[in-house]
Amino acid sequence: MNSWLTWPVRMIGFLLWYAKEFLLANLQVTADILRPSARMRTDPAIVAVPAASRTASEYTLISSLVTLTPGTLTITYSRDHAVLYVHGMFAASRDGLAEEIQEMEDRLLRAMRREPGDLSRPLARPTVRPAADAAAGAGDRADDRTGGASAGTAESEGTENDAGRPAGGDA
Amino acid sequence: MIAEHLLEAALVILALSMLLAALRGFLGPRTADRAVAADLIFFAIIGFITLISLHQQIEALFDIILIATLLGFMSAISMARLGSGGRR
Amino acid sequence: MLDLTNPAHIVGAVLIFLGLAVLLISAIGLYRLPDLYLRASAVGTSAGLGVALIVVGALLIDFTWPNLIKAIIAVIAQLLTSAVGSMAIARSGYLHDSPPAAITSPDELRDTRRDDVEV
Repeated sequence: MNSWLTWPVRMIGFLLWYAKEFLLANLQVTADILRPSARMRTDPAIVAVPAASRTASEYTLISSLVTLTPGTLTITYSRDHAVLYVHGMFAASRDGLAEEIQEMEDRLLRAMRREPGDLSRPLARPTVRPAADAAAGAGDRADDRTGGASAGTAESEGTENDAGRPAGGDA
Repeated sequence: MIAEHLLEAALVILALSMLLAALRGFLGPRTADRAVAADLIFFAIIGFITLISLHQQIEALFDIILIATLLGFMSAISMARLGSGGRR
Repeated sequence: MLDLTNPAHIVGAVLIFLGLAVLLISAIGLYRLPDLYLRASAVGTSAGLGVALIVVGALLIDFTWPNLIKAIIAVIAQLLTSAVGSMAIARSGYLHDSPPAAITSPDELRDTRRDDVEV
């Protein structure tokens, strides 16, 4: 009951926080574009970020919000592996970018859900095998307009056992 | 008088951004890069419509902006499909 | 029409010029940056902040209550749809013919590709 009453407050709190992040990211990107190329700080990376979202609407929202923030861009996601593939413009360290995305997701889910539930997930990259050796047609329900895991990204074995696995050998 | 000069300056800024985007559209190298350039040109067109409508006192300005922002992403979606050869 | 004795109009004009500056800077970024994803990030600044500033500035110059509602819907629609549009472009680019620039490291999506071919 209480959580229904606090929903608007939590949502407004999240929107204010997001507006702040949005403005800061805009400043960062515009400042970097205007720097001479020798001093440009762009250090792009594409990072597989383990996600705590569950429903399609949560994935759609978090990937839209990540894309809307300049400097970060969700290329695709896989609900089966609970991974968001995020391109970051200022990814000095892989874990730094992943932490940033996970913090935004934490805040979004705490604001959106009635009970935030268990938001813990690893920071390291989950092991996702290429689809050549996997059963076909596993990932159809991840398919909505923002992407899902179809054509080129892998859909390997199952839903439950891959997100929690420690990273293979990425640096 | 000053307002006229401000309008001219604003139109020059918009024209410059459209020119840079058009240059990226010519250089490519891929369809997706051209799609991004087309996106920016579309935002500049929204700017043009806004400035001209404010100057000419066209009442439909906000209806035009509303429709433009609601439908503008269609070009991005169709360019994305064009780049992927019609597949998703 | 712009009336420079009205403070709301002055603020509106300043906001419009800020929006135009964001547009110009992202056009410079579009021209300068090396690959599709960085370019899409640069254009993302004008898709969000640039257009929003122009719309809010126009609202301050031409304020009526119906316009306020239209402007709010327009800004929200712009934010949501531009995100969907850039995701669609980035996704189709990655899947088909736009490899990320060589400075992109690590690229953790690369390893999941089914068709491991250079494009």
